[in-house]
Amino acid sequence: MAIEAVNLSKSFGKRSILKDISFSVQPGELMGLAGLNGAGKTTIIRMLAGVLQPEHGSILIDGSNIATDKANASKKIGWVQENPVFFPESTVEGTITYFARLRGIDRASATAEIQGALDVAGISGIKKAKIRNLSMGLRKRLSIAISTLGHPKNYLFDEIFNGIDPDGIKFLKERINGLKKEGCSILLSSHVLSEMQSFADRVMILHQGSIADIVSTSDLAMKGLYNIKITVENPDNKLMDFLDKFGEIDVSGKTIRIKKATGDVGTINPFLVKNGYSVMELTMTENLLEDYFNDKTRNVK
Amino acid sequence: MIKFLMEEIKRIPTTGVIVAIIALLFISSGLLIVTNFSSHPKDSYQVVSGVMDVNGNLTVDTYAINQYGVPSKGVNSTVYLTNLSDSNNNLGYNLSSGKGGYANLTIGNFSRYENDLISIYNDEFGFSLFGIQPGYFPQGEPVSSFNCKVAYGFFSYFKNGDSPYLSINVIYFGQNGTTSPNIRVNAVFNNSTNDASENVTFGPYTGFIVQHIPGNFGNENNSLIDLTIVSQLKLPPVIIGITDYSEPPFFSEFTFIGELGAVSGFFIVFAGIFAIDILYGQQAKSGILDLELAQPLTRRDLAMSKMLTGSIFISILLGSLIGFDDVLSYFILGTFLPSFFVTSLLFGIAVPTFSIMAISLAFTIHTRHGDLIGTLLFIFFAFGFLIFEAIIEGYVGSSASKVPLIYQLVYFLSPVDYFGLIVSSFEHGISGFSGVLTFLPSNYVPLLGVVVAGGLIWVMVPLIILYLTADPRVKY
Repeated sequence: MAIEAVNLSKSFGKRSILKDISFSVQPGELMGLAGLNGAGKTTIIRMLAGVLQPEHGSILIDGSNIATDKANASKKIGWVQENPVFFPESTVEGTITYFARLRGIDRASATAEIQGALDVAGISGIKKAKIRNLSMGLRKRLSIAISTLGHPKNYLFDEIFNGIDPDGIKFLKERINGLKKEGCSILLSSHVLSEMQSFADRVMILHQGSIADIVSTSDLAMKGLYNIKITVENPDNKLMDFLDKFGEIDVSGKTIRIKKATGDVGTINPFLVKNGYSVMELTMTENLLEDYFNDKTRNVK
Repeated sequence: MIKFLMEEIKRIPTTGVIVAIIALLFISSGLLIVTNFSSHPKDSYQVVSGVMDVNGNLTVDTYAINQYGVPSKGVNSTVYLTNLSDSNNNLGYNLSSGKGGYANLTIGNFSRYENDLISIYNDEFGFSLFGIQPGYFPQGEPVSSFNCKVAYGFFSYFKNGDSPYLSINVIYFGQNGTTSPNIRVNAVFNNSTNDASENVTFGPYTGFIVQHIPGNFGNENNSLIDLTIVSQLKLPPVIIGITDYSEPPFFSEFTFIGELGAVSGFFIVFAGIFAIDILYGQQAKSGILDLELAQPLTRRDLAMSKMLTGSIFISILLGSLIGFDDVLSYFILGTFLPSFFVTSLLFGIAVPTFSIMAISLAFTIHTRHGDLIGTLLFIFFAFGFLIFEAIIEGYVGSSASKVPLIYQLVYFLSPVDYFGLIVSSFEHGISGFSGVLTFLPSNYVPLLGVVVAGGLIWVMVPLIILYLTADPRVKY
């Protein structure tokens, strides 16, 4: 088992941040971590990284306990922070060399490993650049390069899409997918649920310090939760009767909306064609995770 | 941990904050120089002495010390044969002190004037006296063959003080002018009218003795004191005379600049220490410490490495500053004190820097620099011992002199005393320990205990705190 957290609890003063959290991330699995601000996402990530200690419970990274065998466990996990900060006067090369030494990579193999990490992160061309001159996107790439030093099989990504341009997001997603294909276990926290839905295997929804649910994205698709928008020239009662079975209908002029449609929505288009409706627009959007997230965080108290 | 230590050493000078600390410490160093010269200006004197060799030739030795406590070069003095009350008997000899404030001159055969007084006059110091003594040991061995400058005697009477006392100062010059065996002094007052102080023994001490004898000696001006010296070298007896000495007020205009320097220096050193706290506070807040801690390091590795590297770096800085001060002193004053330099480096640097770093890091890492209570605790621990020492020394100093307690506290809280205290405490401790071995238990033994215990507390308490806060099982 790659990442395993058992009965984690954490408080800051009298404020309870996490309450009896248990989960695991399997090899080759990407688990999303979603939650409102203050739900405890970053606290979980920091505990898994070995920066914070849980009050109760244990964390195992490939079987090594991060509390009692930290040096060993830390070698097996990489962490990319939301806002990576390095020593501003250092260079990219100096920074990654520094962390390579901290990760126990000997000098003989460090040069090749560092070059490889920089190549993969796409920043080998800025080795001599000062950290203070790097954009957020480049700093995140450097952070990814550092996290891969020593080739750990487990990764933590904390809100890494924040403040990144589309190209940067594309790069990060490709890199994360690459790690996943290599069999790495990945825990990714993000507010961007649509991004998470597109490539996470499972999503842990955290609410008020507890796990509201852990749901697989394929299960969400099976639940058939779609938002449907239909615009036709001649909406009539026959059409309304047909659509009524998919969910609550909201009619506005020629436009009909069905939120959280269920059932075999694939029959809608054939019905419209067969019955001669003049279709101006038919869209089915999959804001599944977002809806599911809203349901879970609204219902759980 | 070793790898991390090495990486820290390589990396730490690159940060801008460290550069700021360097600047602060250099400014502080400049003020330290000022305070070295003028923070405590009350003892301005010229030590004079003389011995006759086997042929009756009298050699006069002078050692001039200015009001700031440092040797003065270029002090011109005239030699008089006092011949009891005749102070106008100018012998026609003049002395001028060189580097180190020292001057000597052989002025001819004075055997017929044995036990008379020679006076040295200088516009700044006034008259200083010594008794003419044959330079023989009791066994009859001439001093000259021993190549030993036995030079004692100057005294001062604080007539304006609230608690008048006689100060007998003895400087012993060994064969090569530097050795300092343990010596004790027995002072017998000739024709003394002070019943309480007719026979006083003090010591053992090393090299330089300042003995304050309480009592009003105003009626004994120009009377004599026989000093019998007890040491391993069997030094000959010496006669000194009593004369008035008026000390300038401790906090006069004359001394104000010095005190201002001391207080300013204290403030800037404080700022420097706080800057270290901010440095690691910034690292904690920015997330750098977190990222480092996420590497294969324990919390203890991280904290100890930060402390050690910071201490090494600050030690190098302070060592450079002390060396700079000493070199500057050499060019300004003509004196260089190697032993002080070495002990300053060894003890005046290591203890405070390690303590500062330990305290700072313990509380920075523990509180993440956002906790008011933690910051207050940091200040308390950083200066608690120093303040404690200041109160003790201030109290002792105040009770032994006329200087008010508050001024003593200001002085002892200054950076001059911060380093000087550690150095002198160590020297006193060694002296006391040596005294135990060679003589009866000396009055320094309790001080040695205080120094050792205080030093342990000063170093160990923050280290224990650091250890506890660095333990990965302890939450933060």
